[in-house]
Parts: sequence; C-alpha cells; structure tokens
Amino acid sequence: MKYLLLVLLSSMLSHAQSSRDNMYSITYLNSFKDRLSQNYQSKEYSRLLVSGNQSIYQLYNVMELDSLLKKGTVTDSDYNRYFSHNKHTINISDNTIKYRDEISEEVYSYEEKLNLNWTLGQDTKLIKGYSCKSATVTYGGRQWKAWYTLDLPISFGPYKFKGLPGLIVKITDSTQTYDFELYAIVERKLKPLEKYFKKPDTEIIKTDRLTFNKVKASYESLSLNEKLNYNNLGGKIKIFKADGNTDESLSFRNPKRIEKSKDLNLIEVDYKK
Amino acid sequence: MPCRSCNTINNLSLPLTPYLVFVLFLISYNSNSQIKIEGVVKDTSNVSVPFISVIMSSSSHGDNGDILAFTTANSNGYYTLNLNNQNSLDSVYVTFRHLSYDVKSIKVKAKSQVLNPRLTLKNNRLEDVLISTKKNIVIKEDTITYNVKGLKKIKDYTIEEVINRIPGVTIAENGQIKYKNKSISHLYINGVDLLEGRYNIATRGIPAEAVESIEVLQRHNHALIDKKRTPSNKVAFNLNIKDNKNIIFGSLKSDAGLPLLTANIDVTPIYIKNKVQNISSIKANNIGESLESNGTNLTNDNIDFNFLKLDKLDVLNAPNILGEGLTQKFWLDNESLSITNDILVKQKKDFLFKAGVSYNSDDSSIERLSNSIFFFGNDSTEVNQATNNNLKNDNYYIGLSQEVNRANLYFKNKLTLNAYKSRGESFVTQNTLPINYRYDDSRFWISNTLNLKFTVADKILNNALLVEYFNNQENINIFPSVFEDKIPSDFNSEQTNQRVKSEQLNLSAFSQYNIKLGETTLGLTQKISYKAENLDSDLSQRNNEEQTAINFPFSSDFNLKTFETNSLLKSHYQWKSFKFNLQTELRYLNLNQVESQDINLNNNFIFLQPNFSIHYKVNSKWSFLTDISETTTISNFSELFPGLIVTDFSNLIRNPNDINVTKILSGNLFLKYSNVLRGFFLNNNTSVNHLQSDFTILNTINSSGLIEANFIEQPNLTRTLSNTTSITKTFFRLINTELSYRYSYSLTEQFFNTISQSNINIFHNAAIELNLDNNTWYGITYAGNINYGISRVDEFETTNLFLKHNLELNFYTTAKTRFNLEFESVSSSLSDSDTVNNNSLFNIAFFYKPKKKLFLKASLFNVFNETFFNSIFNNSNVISQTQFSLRPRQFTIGINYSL
Repeated sequence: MKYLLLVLLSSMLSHAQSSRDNMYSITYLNSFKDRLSQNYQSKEYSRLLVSGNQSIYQLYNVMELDSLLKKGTVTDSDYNRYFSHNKHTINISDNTIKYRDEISEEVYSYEEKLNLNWTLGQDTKLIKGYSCKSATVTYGGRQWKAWYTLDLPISFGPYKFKGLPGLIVKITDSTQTYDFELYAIVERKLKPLEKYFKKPDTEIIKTDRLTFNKVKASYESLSLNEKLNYNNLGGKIKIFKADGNTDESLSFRNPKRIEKSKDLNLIEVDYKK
Repeated sequence: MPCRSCNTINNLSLPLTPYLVFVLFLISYNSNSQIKIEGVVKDTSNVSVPFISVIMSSSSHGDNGDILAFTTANSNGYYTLNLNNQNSLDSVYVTFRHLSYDVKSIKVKAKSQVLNPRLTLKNNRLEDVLISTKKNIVIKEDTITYNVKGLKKIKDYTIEEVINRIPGVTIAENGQIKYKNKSISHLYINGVDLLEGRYNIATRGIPAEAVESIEVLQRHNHALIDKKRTPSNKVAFNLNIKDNKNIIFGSLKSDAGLPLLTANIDVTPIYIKNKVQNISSIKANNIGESLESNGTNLTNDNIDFNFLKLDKLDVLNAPNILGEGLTQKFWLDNESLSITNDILVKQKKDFLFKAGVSYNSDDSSIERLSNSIFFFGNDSTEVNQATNNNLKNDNYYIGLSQEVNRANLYFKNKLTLNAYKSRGESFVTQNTLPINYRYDDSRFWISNTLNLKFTVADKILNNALLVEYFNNQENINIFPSVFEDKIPSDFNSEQTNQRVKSEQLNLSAFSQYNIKLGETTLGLTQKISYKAENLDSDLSQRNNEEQTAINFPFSSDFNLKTFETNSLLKSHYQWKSFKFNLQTELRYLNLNQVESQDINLNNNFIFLQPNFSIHYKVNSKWSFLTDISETTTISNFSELFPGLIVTDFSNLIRNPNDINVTKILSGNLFLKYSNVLRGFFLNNNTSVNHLQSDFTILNTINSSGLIEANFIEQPNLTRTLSNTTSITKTFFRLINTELSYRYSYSLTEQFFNTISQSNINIFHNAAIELNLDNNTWYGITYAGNINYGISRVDEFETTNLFLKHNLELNFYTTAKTRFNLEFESVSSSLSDSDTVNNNSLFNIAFFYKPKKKLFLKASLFNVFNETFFNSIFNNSNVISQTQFSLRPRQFTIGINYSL
C-alpha cells in the first residue's frame, strides 16, 4: 500500500512545473485598416511568445503555416486557409529587435535598437477583467495609447511595444486605424522562440527600418496586375506599349498608382518624411 | 574694504564663500533628490528570480498611487531603480511582481539603498485564460466566468436551470447550490449580496435571458479586508445582469389545471439600479411544489458563528407529510403561499442597508401505509400503520442588516426575527388500533449578530458578538391514551397530553487574530459563551373530569446554565507546495443543571482537542489532503432534560440521567482533480470515524408498536468507514456526465427489547447523470441511482436493492415548439421477500414559444394515473415497507412571461 502511494505521488510530482521551464503564449486580436479608404476593419489574430527577456511576435496564421512547413505537411489549401495580410516576425531580445518580413518572394530583415519613451498616465480602465493603467508613446510616426495591467507583470506587448511595468492589454493609435487587444494568455512548456524560414540566411536581404518601409510602401502601391508582373519578372515591372515594345523600368508615374500610395496606411508611416 | 576671500573675475569682485556654500548646497540637494535603489531578487530557496517587474510608487502595490519608476530585473535577478525625488518624499513603496511568485510590496525610506527581497513561490499558478466563443469560459485567477448565452439550452427558463449546467454544480430540491460538493457562501447580483443567503428567490425568479454571465468566485472572501490577507476555501456565485435590462424585470408564471382545480402563480419583479436593488416574489400553488424553503437561508454563514449558535429545541414530532424515494411533485398534496420582499440600499461606496421580509404558508397532507418488522434475538414485532396526515405551517421572517465593507474595515450587524406556527393532525390505525393525534407548535426567535474586523499591525482582528433568544411551545393530544403502563392512572383515561415549553438565551462572542513568525502563521481564537435554557414539560393522562398527577418525571422544570470558553490555536506552515496545519483546542465547560428546584448539579469539563492536516497541491489541477482529529462532545440541552416525554403517538423517550461524553477520533483522506476548462472534476474522499460514548440506547417495543427509548450507562461504540468518489466530465464534447459512488460501513451498538445488538449497515450507492443537449432537435437527460444495502444484526442479515431512473426527453419540433416526455421509475426489493415493488410515472408536456419573452405550455401529469408509491428499505434491525399516495392525473395549461 505504501509503495502504491509513493508511485502515485511520484507521478504527480513529475507533472509539477517550475516557472523557468515555461513561457507565456499571448494572443492578440488585431483590428486595422491598411487602406485609408477602407470602410471596415480587417481583423487578424497575432501571437506573442514570451520567455524571460525574449519574445517572438507573429500573425497567428503565419505561425500555423510555418509549423506545417516545418513538418513538411503543408498543402495548397493550407495557403488559403492560413492567409495573412502581414508576414512579419519580430524577435526581441533585451531591447534589440530583429525584424523579418516578406515582400513578394523576397525576405527582408533589419535590426533596431528599441528605445520607447513611455509616458505613464493617470487613467485607469477595466479591460477584459483586468484593471489597466494608461501610457502613451510615439513610434513609427504614430501616437499610441496603451493600457497595461500590473496583474500580469510581463513587460511585453504586441508588435514592437514593450517596456511597461505590465502586459499591454490594449494599444491603439491616435487615428484609430490600428488596434491590438488581448485575446488570451496561456502558460506553455518552453520551446525555442524561433521562426521557421524556407530561405537560408544568405538569401535574406538585410536593410534598415526606414528603407524597408519605403520598399514595402512602394510594393503595396502597385496594382494587382503590376504585383503579378513584379513577381514573375523577378522584381521588375514590364509595361506593354501600344507599339508592341516593352518597358521594364519601375515607374510610379501612373496617376492611379499615386492615389494608391496616398491611400496606403502602413503601421509605420515615418518613412514618408 | 578689500575682500580677502574674494576672487576677481572679469574685474568684478565677488564674494567667494557664499557662492561656494550655494554650489555645495546645490550639489548636495541634487544628490539627495536622486535616489537609486538596487538589489538582487531571490526566492525563499535563495535562487535568483530573473526578469521580475519592479515598481517604485507612492502607495502599496502601486495600485492607487503614482508609479514613480519601474524596471525589469535582468537574468540574474539584478535590478536598478532611479528616481529624481523632486517632491521630497519621505518614503516610497517598492513592489516586486512575477506571475509565478506572490507579490511583495516593501515600504522603504526615500533614499538610495540596496534592497534584496525574498519572494515566495505561488501555489496556484497562472491558470489557463482562454476566451473562446465555443466554450464561453474566462478564467482569471480564482474567478471563472461563464457566458450565459453559451451555457444556456433552449428549454432553460430561469437562471437556476442555467446554473445547474455549470460543471461541478448540484442543486438540491430546496434550491441550495453546491459547487464541487461544497455549499456556496454567497450569491451576488451585480456584485451585491441582496438576499443574504435566501438566494432561491433570485435563482428561481430571474429569467435566464436577463443574465449576461455567471461568475464562480473560488477562494472567496466576502469582506474586502480579508482579500490578500486571509486564505479561504469558500465559493460564491455572482450573476451579472445585462446592461440593457429594464429597471424592472423578472418573471411571471401561471398554470391552471383539471380535474382537480389546480393553480400556480409565480411573480418575481426585480428592480436593479446603481444604489437600490429590490426583489419581490409572490408564489402560490397547489401543484406539488412546496414553498417552505422559499426565502430560507441556504448558506452556512461563518463557521465560527455556527459553533456559537443555539441548537434550537424541537422535542415533539409533527405529523409526517413527506414521501420518500420519489420526486416531490408526484406526491406532495399541498396549498402553498409565499410572499417575500428584499431591498438593498447602497449609501456611499461601502455602506449597505438591507431589509427582508417573508411570509410562507404550507398546508400539506398525505396518506401512508407502512409495515415494519423489528428483529431482536430470535423474536420480532410487526407494526402495521395506516395514517392520514396533514400539517399546516406558517412562517414569518424579518431581517435587517447594515454593512460597511472596506479594505481596512468590515462591520456587519444583522437582526432577524422569526415566528413560526404549525398545527397538524394524524388519523392513524396502528395494529388495528385507531389513534387520533393532534399537534401544534408555536415558536419565536430573535437573534442579533455583530461582526467587526479591523487591522492591527497589518493583521486582521476579527470580532463577533451573538445574542439569541428562542421560545417554543409544543402540544400534542393523543386519543385514546397511549403508554398507559408507563403513565398509570386510576381512572379510565381517554387521552394523553404532552405539553413542552422551552426558552433559550445565548450570549456569545469570539475574537480572532493571526500572527506570523517566520514561515509559520499562528491563528489565535478565543470564544466565550453563556447559555441559559429552560424546559417546562407536563405529561398526563386525562378524561373530561380527571387528570393524572403532574409531578416528576411526568412533569419537569429543568434549567440548564452553560458557561463555555474555547481557546483555539492554529498553526500553519508552508513548505514549497505543502501546507501543514496543526490545531489545538482547549475547551472548558461549566454546566449547572437544576430540576424542579430540587436537583442541583454542577459539572466542569476540560477537553484538549488536536487536529492535524497536510495539504499538498501538486499543480493547478491535482491536490491531496489528509487530516486526523480528536474531538470530545457532551450532551446538549435536548439530551439532558430528565423528564419523561411522549414525542408522538408511538414514541416515549427518557434522556440519560447524566451527561453523556462522546469521544470522536476521525481521519480523512481527500484526492481532488479539477480542470475547469474541460469541465472535468474528480473527488475522492475516504473517512474513518471511531466514536465512544458513555451511554447506550435501550429501545423497547410492545405488541401495539409503541416504542420506548431509554439510556443505560454502558460504554457504546460506533465505527464508520466511508469512501465517496464523484466524477464530472464531458465526453465527446457532447455528453455532460456526473458519476458518483459511495460506500459506507457502520457498526453501532444498542439494546433492543433488553437484547444487546451489534448492528452493521453497509451501503453501496452509485448514481449517474447524463445530459445530452447540443442545441439540435433533441435533448436527453438521464439520472440513475442504485442503492444496495446490507444490514446485519448479530447473525441475521437482510439486503435491500433500490433502483431509480429518471429520463427526460425533449424534442424541438420547430424553432418555437418543444415536446417533453418525462419518465420516473423506482423499483425496490428485499432479500427475504419475493416481492419487487415497481413504480412508474409518466408525464408529457408541450411548449410553445411564440415570442422571445413568452412561452405557453400544456401538460398531462401522471398519464397512467398511478395512485400509490411502494417502497421497501432496511436499517439496523428494522425492515419497513411503505406506501404513500400520489397526486392524481392532471391536465394543466400554463404561461411564462419574462418581465
């Protein structure tokens, strides 16, 4: 009898966990308008994984698709099912950001030293059952207002936002076109915070934040046809002329394209300056 | 005059000293205003805690005050906080937060220093917090929130029906809610305790569609002062009413039926505003739903109060109008009325005033037949009894309370007044002898409880005062006389009269304080109480002209004064996930017994009662508890009065002639698994008890079935062993299941007709409840119960099998209509008999919901018009077959409207 009790206790003890073996998986609901003329908010889930002073942030669908790619079980219908507006991955370690994103078939990355100067506010609000305090910051050409909770003392948040005394439960920009709100938080067994990439490091284009945003804005300003051409021609646009000749230069003089670039509403807008 | 201490700067002569002083002052001022607090954070095992959040603020925990500075420690637990103290604060709070550790807030002087705190690992880790539209559950620390829309099924009308769907919840017939086998301590509406435990008024009156969510508050403390200070194992529920509800809402139900004229009316208007809440209920019916429990207190209150309260005396037996083994609506023949009103007024943020009144009236009757055989040695006595019983109860209640609930102060005063009147009559034929039994009872009691909690050196001092007065007058008249050999008369007596009048006064108080010594928490409780109790009884035989002499033991004027002090020391030590509790209680009692001004006895008792328990929380789901205790109790007032009392037409009792001391040694083992998200709970409890008392009961039964109970001074031993396992789980995401199994073994000793008996009773009970309703075209609920009992008296053994099935089918024929079929079946048999008693009852109903707030129903009750219910059971040396009357077939139409 006493040995049975010992076995029972041992098996239970093996389930006991320590905080060092765990990480936090935090899901946000992103609501955004990436076109100013859009009269609805696009919605997508994103996932933030935090372990110690490191984190990785991705859109939920991107993470799911990566997981299938890694296993080698991805199918064509999975690409549709796990479609995402954004494919960026943000790794933060201490205050250094490693940002990776895809534009067409190319992968870009840049590093950034994060230096967010938060101004703590006096407002308090109850969000999702958490008692939250306010804080504001300027980043990427936008004014952001965040609500953080001391009940969850994790100094991280969605996208690149971190450094507050508690987890960011909600953050919205002053134009109300970008909003991230906490959806769920779960404690999970620790696993490496890394993104799966189908391209090797040597094929990743390294740049800086402002340059990347300019390139992204340019690409997003293209029409669908132009994007298709761009993709097929390895990054160049082929314009077909009435005389049968072609012009492969990248040009933004088309009036429609100029309107599209003005309609664009990326999350970081300080590249325009 | 030339200045010796001057320097010449640009041909200007400036005095040097004052400027130097000023500059030095500036330097020192700036260095004073710059504060640097740094250190390394470690846990109680001296391991550094990395990446911990550190906040400097002007208030404790940073909850209310400004956050002056904040940082996150590095991977070695090292942190630095810098503050420019321009406001010249004298002190600041440094708060350390980490999800896996208890929050620590330290008040320090506002100056640079090294601060190396030690943190304690949390027992309950961050539970999964998952918001999912499918499951509609949100878990945040100890609060589980269920979205009503996700939980409710189409057929649910009142919020009680939705609460019943929460995994782990069971609801008794009187509306008492239990969560994981523990009664809830409070039911709040919008965070406020309007009904003070009388919550069945709300749960059976508030429509489900008026409620947004139901919160289950685990480890709940009602008093704000106890939050984060006092551990609790209580559970409370909170109903969040939808914001868009009208100020007045509620429900209206009305039924009418034939061939017996039946009616049911049930109106519950509810008014909820920010500062005022009012809930009324008017209920009346004669359809088999007792309203006796409407508005009664269903909570256990404070356990320390319970210990101090009076055991209200209730000597004589009312006529039995209860059936057993079958749901009440099939047998209760009633006329019931209940009117209640409860109001709450919130003055300022933390002051509440509540008043409640209620009137309940129940007039019930039943026809019963029973055949009982009592075995003793090689002999037996058979008692056949046919009774026609009725009983009318009227109960009046007034409750007034005032409450102040603050973070550093809790005050509550509650005054209750109750008046109760009961009268009943039984027409009995017992072993061919006709007996008419009349009963009446009038009671009045008033109680006032005062609870005051405040902090001393940041620990809570909990005080309470209780004053109670209880007055009871009971009378029975039995025609013709009974127990004539025990109450002899020298004339032809026609009736036996028993009158009992009692008064009880209780003045009690307690005070409780906890202190912390290192890792050990010590709790000190001092209780003191004084009770003065009196019982005045007269027992006589009489006819129109004569009456037997009323002197002792037929007449008694018994006074009991009890003075008691109780000192309790609880120590609690936590080591990792283990909690050790050692409790020692020193109890002193002084009893002064006076009988008829002649007998005057004074007794003193001192008992030392230890209790030891270990609680091990393996993780957020598994926990394990064991406890051992030794308790000693003595006779209470109802077991001490020495006179001879006839308690009803067939029972006579005489208490032991001395104080009975009972020693109880008990041990318990609990195993619990709880997974709220998956709705999977497992509880296993094994309990062993060994009771030794000074007196043994001696029962004597004669050929007329009259039982006399006496006590002889002989050590009596009782042993019990029980094991209960209960499982709540959802299978295949569809079928909600509750399973339970209980085994109990008990060994008792008694004398029956002078023969010594050792009785062994063994019960195996298994129950299952399945619920399948996935908001499709059908829903099924099945409840099954099997009880197998073995009784052994010396060499004589009987077994009894009891099976009960309850099946309910719902067919949603369209979006607005539903058919309901209900089937209840009970079967019982005994080992020594070939007879198997089978009873089956069948109901059918049709529901039509033309609008969201309205539904109509038509029902046929007891379709096959069964008239009697038969059952058989055994216990110790008795085998009993009973039969009681059922309500006849009835057609009813009804309307339910949500206000």
